[in-house]
Amino acid sequence: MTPSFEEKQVSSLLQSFPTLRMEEEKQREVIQQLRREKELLKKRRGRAAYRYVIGGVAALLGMLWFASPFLPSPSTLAPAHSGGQSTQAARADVNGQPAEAGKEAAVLTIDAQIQTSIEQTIAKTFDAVHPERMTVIVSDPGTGEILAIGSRSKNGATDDAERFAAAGKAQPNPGAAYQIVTLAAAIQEGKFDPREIYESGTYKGIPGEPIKDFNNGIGWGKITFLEGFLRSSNVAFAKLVHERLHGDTLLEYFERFGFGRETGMEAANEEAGKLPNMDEPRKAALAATGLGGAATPLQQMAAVGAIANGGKLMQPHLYKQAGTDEHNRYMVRQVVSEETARKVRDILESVVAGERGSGIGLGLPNVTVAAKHSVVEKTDPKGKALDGKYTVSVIGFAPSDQPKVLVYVEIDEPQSELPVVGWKKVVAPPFQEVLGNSLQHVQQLQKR
Amino acid sequence: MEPDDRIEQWFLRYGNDVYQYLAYFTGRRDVEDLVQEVFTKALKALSGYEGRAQPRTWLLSIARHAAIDHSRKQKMIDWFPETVLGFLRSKERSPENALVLKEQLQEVYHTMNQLKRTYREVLILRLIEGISTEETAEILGWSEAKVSTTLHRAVKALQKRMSNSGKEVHLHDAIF
Repeated sequence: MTPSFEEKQVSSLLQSFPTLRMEEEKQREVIQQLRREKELLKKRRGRAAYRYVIGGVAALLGMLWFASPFLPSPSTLAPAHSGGQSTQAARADVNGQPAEAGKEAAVLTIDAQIQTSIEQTIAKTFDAVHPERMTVIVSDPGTGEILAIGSRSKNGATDDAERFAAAGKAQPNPGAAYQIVTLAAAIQEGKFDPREIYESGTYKGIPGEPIKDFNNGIGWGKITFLEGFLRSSNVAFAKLVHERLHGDTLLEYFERFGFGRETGMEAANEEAGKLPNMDEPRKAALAATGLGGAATPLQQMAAVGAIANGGKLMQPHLYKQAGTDEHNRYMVRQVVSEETARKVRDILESVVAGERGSGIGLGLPNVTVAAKHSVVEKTDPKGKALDGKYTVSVIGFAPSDQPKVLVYVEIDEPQSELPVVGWKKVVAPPFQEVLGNSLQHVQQLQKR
Repeated sequence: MEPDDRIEQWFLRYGNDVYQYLAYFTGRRDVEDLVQEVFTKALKALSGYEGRAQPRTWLLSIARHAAIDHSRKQKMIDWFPETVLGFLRSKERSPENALVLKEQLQEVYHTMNQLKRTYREVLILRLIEGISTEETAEILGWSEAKVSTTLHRAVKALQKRMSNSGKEVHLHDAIF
């Protein structure tokens, strides 16, 4: 029963039907009408209740009158009778109503099984590529619940303190998360025409050093913006920001998506990171490609989670309380429309599944995956590039049309024979393993 | 909270879901009256609801019945000669209130409307509205397995019809 390509396309088409909303004025009309109906209903119910009372009293009087000759004198029977009734009533109360133990205790959102599985993945990856450090986080994008969180560095054991410290520690040049937010901003602002053609390779439209695509500025000739995004073309991002979106608008979106501020997760020592400087056109263009500023893994999770979650930014959190409205409590704001989020999800899915996607090899069998990876050169505290030292990371979620898990994997300075451009191969196995295991577990839980 | 306030809350939260469902079901944009009808019904039936299903599921199943009733009435009206009920028709079905989509989507939508009702229903709920298989099963009163197989057949049928009528599907053109 695997659907053919054409059938998948038909499905995608239907899924891309626009979201329809009622006009606000009509909404108000409906609410007013509902209130009127409610009042009417109340009056009618009141009258009905009144009717029962009258009927009941009449019936009682009638019965009393009828039964009066047989009734024993009230003084002899009443105390015993009423006593019996009250104990019975008390018992019914105990049995009939479930014990309400007041407020439920808060419980950790960490899922033991997923946590165990990511610890294993981290250990395996350490044996394979001996990195300086590796961090993995799994969350439920729909709620912001952190399902698993792990980090290990070369010279240090994994303890809880380090685990949370890594998640809340800001690192320069977030890469993929910035690119995804840039795409979302451009779509939301109506500035992204996927079919428009541009010249990839090297962009000299901005004063200063030209901005080059990662293949030494060769690019792929004249391609569409959509293909540019799929191929992770720096020129596409630079042009998009410099000529269409402009730095100040982009900065606004970065802020909306939660960068530059603590997410508020219950981890100690969370850093706020830094919004990229967009005063100069060149810096704004570089920020769109993922360079500049600093962001914590938690911020990146939250921002990409908003895309997975229909444009709703959720606060990552570690504790949940039964009986509270988790959604309202942890929803921060709507950062882009549902439709924009869906378009970004579709494009991110093509990054992994498409012929020209840069994320080929990150996918899973039988599941649609939306993901983006980035390889970023490390910098010293002053922002100078550390020659030959790179961090590779992936952020992504699945299934892409109805995301259930969001995964972030970051490997710092892996030792690999592969050229840096090919480091996707280093990060793909742990990413696939974590995503696959988590998704399988979450789906099993939901079936139960 | 007073129990009846829930309806208003639900309207704020799920009103647009219900609206969208009814709009795609009937092919009209002016379905506010139907939305009103759904929530009024829910208000009256609230005491019998008490947490049986998710509120959205419940509201959508009420909406579904309302939409089916509506289309029956519409069929009756269509059946009468135009001269008899012309005034009614023009009031009810003024073309400017019809649901209009972008060209390619319009074709898909039109083709979908020619499919049989079970197919249409499952396509609207599962794909256009994006509702889970589980919830769809509850709304339609089917088993989850039936939802899955019907969806599969419906997509197949739609794809076949589209290609028969020589309308090639350009996903890219349609989304953007």
